[in-house]
Amino acid sequence: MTAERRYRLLLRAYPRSYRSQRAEEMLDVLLATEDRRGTWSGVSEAVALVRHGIALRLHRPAAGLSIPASTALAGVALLLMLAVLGAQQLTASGLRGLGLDGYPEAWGTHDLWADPRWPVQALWMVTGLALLLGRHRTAVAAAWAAAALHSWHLVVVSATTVDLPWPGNVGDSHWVATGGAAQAGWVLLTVAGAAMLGGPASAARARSTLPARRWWRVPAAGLVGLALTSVAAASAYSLLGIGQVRLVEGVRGPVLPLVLAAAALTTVLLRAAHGRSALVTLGLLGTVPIAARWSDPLGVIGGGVALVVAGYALGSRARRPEPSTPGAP
Amino acid sequence: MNKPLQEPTVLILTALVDEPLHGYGLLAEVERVSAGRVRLRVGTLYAALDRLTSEGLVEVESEEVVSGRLRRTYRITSAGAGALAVEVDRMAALARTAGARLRGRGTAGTPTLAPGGAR
Repeated sequence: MTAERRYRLLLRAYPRSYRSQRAEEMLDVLLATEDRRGTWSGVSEAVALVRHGIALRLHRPAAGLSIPASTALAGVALLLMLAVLGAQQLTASGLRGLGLDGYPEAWGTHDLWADPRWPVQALWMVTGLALLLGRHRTAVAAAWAAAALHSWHLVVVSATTVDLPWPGNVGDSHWVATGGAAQAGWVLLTVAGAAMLGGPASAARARSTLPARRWWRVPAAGLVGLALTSVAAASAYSLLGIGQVRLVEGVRGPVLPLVLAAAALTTVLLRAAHGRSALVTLGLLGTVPIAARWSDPLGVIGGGVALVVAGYALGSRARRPEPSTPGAP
Repeated sequence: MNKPLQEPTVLILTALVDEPLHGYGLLAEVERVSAGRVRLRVGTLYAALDRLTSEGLVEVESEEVVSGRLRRTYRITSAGAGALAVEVDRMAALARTAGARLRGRGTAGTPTLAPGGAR
């Protein structure tokens, strides 16, 4: 039996998902070590390998989904962008409540300031902040809470015959967000972000691949966009008057914060391992809210699920090492 | 109070202080740092690397394909360097205490840490 076959046999003690990531690397080290020491390390090496493999099998859920590195990274990036969106929406609500949004006082818009989706927006921000601070358990918990709450919100606003409870309603008068493709598109992105992030371990791995000190630029760019948007919208109302409501509402929207944050995110991801694959996945997911404006909800959800699956496939493909060739390591 | 690091962990972190290393380089450097006393098994090394990576003490610096096989290079993080510094302080304090007691007993002079130094 050749050394390579012997070691491959021993490496079968490891779970398949672990082998797909590590086996070739470990085989390289095992063969190089045997080559240097002139003899195989014998029983003690075999015991160490089998013990580690069994420990991993016992401590890992057998049916657990292994999140490809680029997919988890795309999940981190997507949740950061949703955090920027949440910050923009909460700020817009806050300005409206304070009467600082530039609307004429006679409109009384401050009476209707509370966006009922604020619990989801707050959870987006908690998720983003936890990711930035390296609190991966909190990030994963907040991401899934946002996904569950956002999904329930879609059910609540889509229900036409029953009045379902929703914790985001504030006061007697509140916005009535409607269901539909646009809402479904954003719900899909929230769920996709949580699913792609995986557990705390995969979130930590994905975050560790991002260049430290650089990815704070993402929320910083979002905040700059937010400040510019808020000032520009209020100023535009004063200058253009109420006849240009649509134009000013466009200025007030999340486009500028998201574009600036996306630009910062792209520069960060281009420097990260698996960053390019993550960008492809993120770009595909970015088409969901656009497509949502012209599609029916089921079509958007179906398309979005297909994109997430494609993201996983792309990530798996990017992670897979090249086929091994016989020869010295 | 932080849990004391195990010896293989200290050796791996020490080996990575000067420069990032791949798996085989790490094994060789651990052997060199320990003056040949510790020869880590590959299974032990990767169990330790998994744990250190999940704890954020070590991270993957790069991946490359060499002779058809994936080779990852690992580096120590600032958190890893901090944990190693704490452990080094702890070991130094222990060595000072032990040395002082041995001198009080009159059975030891200045203990040597040099490899192979017979006393």
